[in-house]
Amino acid sequence: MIAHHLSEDQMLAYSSGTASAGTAVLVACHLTLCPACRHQLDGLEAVAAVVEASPSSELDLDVLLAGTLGRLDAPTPLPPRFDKDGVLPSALAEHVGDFSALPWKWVFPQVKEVVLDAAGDGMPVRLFQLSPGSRVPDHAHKGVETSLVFTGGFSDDEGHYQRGDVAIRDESAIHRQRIDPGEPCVVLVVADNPLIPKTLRGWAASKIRKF
Amino acid sequence: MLPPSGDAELVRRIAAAQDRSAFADLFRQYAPRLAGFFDRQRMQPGVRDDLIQEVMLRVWRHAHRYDERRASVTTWIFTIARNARIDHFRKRRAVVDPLDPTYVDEQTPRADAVAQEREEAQRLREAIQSLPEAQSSILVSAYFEHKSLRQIAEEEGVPLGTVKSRVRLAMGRLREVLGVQS
Repeated sequence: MIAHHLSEDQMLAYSSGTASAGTAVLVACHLTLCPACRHQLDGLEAVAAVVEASPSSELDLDVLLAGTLGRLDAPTPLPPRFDKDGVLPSALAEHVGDFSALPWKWVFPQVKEVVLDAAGDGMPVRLFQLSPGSRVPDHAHKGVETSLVFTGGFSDDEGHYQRGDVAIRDESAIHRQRIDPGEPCVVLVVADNPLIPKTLRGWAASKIRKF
Repeated sequence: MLPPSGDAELVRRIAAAQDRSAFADLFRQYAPRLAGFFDRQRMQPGVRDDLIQEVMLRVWRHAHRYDERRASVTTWIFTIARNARIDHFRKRRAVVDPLDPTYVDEQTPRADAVAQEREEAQRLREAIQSLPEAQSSILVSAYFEHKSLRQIAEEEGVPLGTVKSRVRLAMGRLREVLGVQS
């Protein structure tokens, strides 16, 4: 059961097209896994349609209809890319391919990463793989950081997080994450501050504490 | 001439039988409203007409995916319109695809069948008008002016957290009207 969900403002941003590319990917992944949040989004989109739907008179309807009828038989576009391993929703698989083929790089003991630049807009979006049974070093960051779990799980002061759960943390949060035993914890992390890209090397450099 | 039909029935005919008459009826109904939607976003007329075609082509291709339990036809088509607009301005959009093997299905259908479109839309319109201006203006800024919450906060000179709270309050109020559980 998913226990930790998206915020309303994340859903509004996604629906209105004003979310950063990284946030849009994270939101779409959670929505793929969470019928309850899709239900919330349906309500929001019903509101949007009411606000948006009033007619324009400057339209050549017959010409436009004729043109559209002529295109109904055109070949359909290619389907989206699905993850062969059934772990990553297509919103993410589109960018990184199949789960088992991810090009992990060690960045720290117990931590591997894959960096994505979801729209070439310089917003850092990263997939991390955290070793089972480990503790993630204490770290700080600027702005808001949102995480979505795909495999395994972790616990911190705010609860336990597993597949589909969303963790939203502002810069006052101190993270002390304990990774569940068993399988590695794979988590998508999106930073909401374009000015200060966050790296694990930055964590290591400034904030390491020994346990 | 087909007898007058509810929109959902038209979509069903498109899905079941690739019914071009039903498609043409739906087109005549929605193209003017789609034009209004895109006009309000100050698009060039040529771009606007291309987008209207693109939206209705997606309606044709995805009619089999329309789920009456989740949304009215109006809501469904305007979501397609919003997404087509995002696709137009971005190279890729983050899609939620019911055919994705990782997609978790709805456990139970919505308790109530889709309400009469006009009745629900009217209740919603009234509810939106009854929202404090500070809340409704955020919805307008996001959907029409495509401003992010961060931009809205900067322009109004309020903390981002305040804007987020207003979104939460507005959505809570509107969900009551829709009878959607939080």
